[in-house]
Amino acid sequence: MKQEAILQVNGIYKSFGAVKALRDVSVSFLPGEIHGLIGENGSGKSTLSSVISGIYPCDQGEMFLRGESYKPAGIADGEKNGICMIVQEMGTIGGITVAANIFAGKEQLFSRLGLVDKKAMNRAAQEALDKIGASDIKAETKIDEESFENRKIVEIARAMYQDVQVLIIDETTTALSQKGRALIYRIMDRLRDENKAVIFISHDLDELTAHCNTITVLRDGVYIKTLRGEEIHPDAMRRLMIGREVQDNYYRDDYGDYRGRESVVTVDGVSTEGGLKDISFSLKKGEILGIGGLTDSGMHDLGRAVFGLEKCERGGVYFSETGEKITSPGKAIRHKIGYVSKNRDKESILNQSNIVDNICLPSYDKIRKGVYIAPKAEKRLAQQESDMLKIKMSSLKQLCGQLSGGNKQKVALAKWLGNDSDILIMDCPTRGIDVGVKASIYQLMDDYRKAGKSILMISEELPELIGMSDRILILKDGALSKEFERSRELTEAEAIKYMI
Amino acid sequence: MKLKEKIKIREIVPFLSLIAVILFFEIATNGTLLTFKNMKLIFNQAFVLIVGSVACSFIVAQGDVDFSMGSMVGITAVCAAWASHAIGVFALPAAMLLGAALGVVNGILFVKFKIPSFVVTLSTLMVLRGLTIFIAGGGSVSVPFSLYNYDSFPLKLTICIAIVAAAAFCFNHTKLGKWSKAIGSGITAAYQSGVPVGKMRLFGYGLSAAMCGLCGFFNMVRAGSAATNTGNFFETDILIALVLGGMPLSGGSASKIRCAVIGSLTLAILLNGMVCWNLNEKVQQGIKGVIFLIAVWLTFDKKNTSLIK
Repeated sequence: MKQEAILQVNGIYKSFGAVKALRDVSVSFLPGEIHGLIGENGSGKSTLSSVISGIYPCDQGEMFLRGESYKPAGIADGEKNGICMIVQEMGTIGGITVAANIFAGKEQLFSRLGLVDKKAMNRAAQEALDKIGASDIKAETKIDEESFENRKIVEIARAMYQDVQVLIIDETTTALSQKGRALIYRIMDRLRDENKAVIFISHDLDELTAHCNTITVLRDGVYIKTLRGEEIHPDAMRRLMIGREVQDNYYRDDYGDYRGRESVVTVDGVSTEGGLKDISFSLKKGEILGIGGLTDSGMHDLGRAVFGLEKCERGGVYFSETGEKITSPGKAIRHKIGYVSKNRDKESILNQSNIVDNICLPSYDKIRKGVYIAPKAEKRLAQQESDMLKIKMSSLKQLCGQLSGGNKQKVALAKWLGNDSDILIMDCPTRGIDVGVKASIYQLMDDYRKAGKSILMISEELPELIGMSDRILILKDGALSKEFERSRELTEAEAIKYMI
Repeated sequence: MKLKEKIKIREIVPFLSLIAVILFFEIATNGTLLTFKNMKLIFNQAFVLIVGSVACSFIVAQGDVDFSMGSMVGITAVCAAWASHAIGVFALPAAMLLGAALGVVNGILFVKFKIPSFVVTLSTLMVLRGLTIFIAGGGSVSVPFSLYNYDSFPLKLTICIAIVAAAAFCFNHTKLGKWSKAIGSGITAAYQSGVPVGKMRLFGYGLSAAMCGLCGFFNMVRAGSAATNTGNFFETDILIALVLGGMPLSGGSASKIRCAVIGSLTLAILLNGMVCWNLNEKVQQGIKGVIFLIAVWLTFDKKNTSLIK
């Protein structure tokens, strides 16, 4: 039964300053494995995959690739050895074509007399795209014209062009729609059939159960257990990740009639340059209104429009009570609307600032006395909110950039709770967040709703939409295609029908 | 642990270099540096540097620069000199108002017309210098004798302390400072948290130029006239002072008013020390350039900056 591993990792240690990200981690990746790597945020899974792909060296320990010592000097060296990684965030280079991205650093393949033969390169790139089933992406288009999702697929095509031994997929699927996911799953299955190895990092336990044949659990930088075949079950994974029993169902469980509530925000015939077409609905007091659709359906733009970040060509967003139009974030915030962006690092958090500054930023008008903002008042507000949300931090003075993804999201939420917002727009509120934090965010949303406040939740996760929303609006190609009331009977398949 | 030590070192480097500069020139000039008479000279030089660098700290905290400061000083000085014959000391508020108005023009070009700030301010640097030469008629404009009294040490010291205190208060404990730093830390996140980015930019450039008006006035009363070259290279001196003080030019939460004050003192002593040391003027310019390079190299956080931009 004992097979030789494609990649063997032995006793890896890695520290960042005082933080021990990995401690004595040993894992073998066998041929034909789709090997899920799971753990809460900060458990070390991204660090481990970064060490394997050569992004940074480990402090101690050794790795063997097909029995031979493997010490990647950098990410390019890792690629040369057939170890490729598709990262969570953007990995393409802007300003050049799709083909140029696929062959970045490998232009010599097409060089003729020192010049790059663009035609040959485009042809080869198109073949690479066709091979992974993405013929709808054209090799000669500029990468910037492609959607986030397609750019991810270009990265995959780049990785797959060479002889891949180990493919690492780091939380990529959370950012993709059904189409992109299906493509990734197909590639994973193919590599499995070719007796290569896939390392798959995801927070979605159902996805992991469905696609992986091996799962390794990390917790606080330590190897916990490897599950194979029948042992793979969401409950088991959850238990191992958190180290204690957790409830299976963390969505809200009430069902009832939610009609007849007063509206707080009215969206009236909004059309934008970005592609929203004549959208009208109203957000009611005390409800969670879910917005679903494919990534490029315009649902993210809709959230931005409600917060005053998108210019409306026609129609507008209004406060129902006063009829005042929302034209800028400043105006929205004065009327107690908060917005948690999908792009956490760039749009909702100041990574170079500390937790106090981040939490207090929208609330200076609330805590100032005259023009004076007392450090004590700032600290009090930050302490109160971070206590309530149980933000894991070394101190309030810690820079937000050093927090894990889940804790950053908590800071982004703390900002708006500290500001006493009555309306929250949450774009992908649990994207890239582990189960523990996810459950607490759902709990928070439920409490918020019960306090008579309203949430506009934009999400690409159907279970989350169905489990949390009072009503769900489905967007398709920039227009509303369907409204669902909260119901036990609503299935994912039913919702998807109106998305594609 | 290592990272923490590094940050602390970066914070004390400006203090250490100030002390080093004082010690070096005190010894090199056989004690002339720290005589009372010379210290007054140093203060006169440091005064405009401190006022200027403190004022532009708000715009620097936002991650922007103001290259037009030299010409702002020039044009406000020349206009104030003209005006002073008619309105006397009221030329001071007039100069500041003129500065503020021109600064707001900088801001509008940047915010409304979306031209990058360094292009805008470099352009106004040139345009305003040309205008200054035109107004001054190629020579200099004299100042009435009655205004010479305003070149007084106690008055300037009081103004200087008041400005630094007010700026430090605003920078650390009011929305003006906190919002400026938030813009430098992450402009998109700041905007989405309700920071009025456009208004803050207008404010920053307005303030910077208004204070150039103040500098212009005191330059003028000190020299007894305002000339076409008044304020030349003021903007680069300010930049050097800020960097010497350890101010991050990328802006953000690490910005501090302290940096502007310490850097201005260091630069003023350095310039004065080189004169006392009888260094050739051309050599002085060269040394200034070299020091600028070294200061940037020492204080610039290469790793973190690449993270921001």
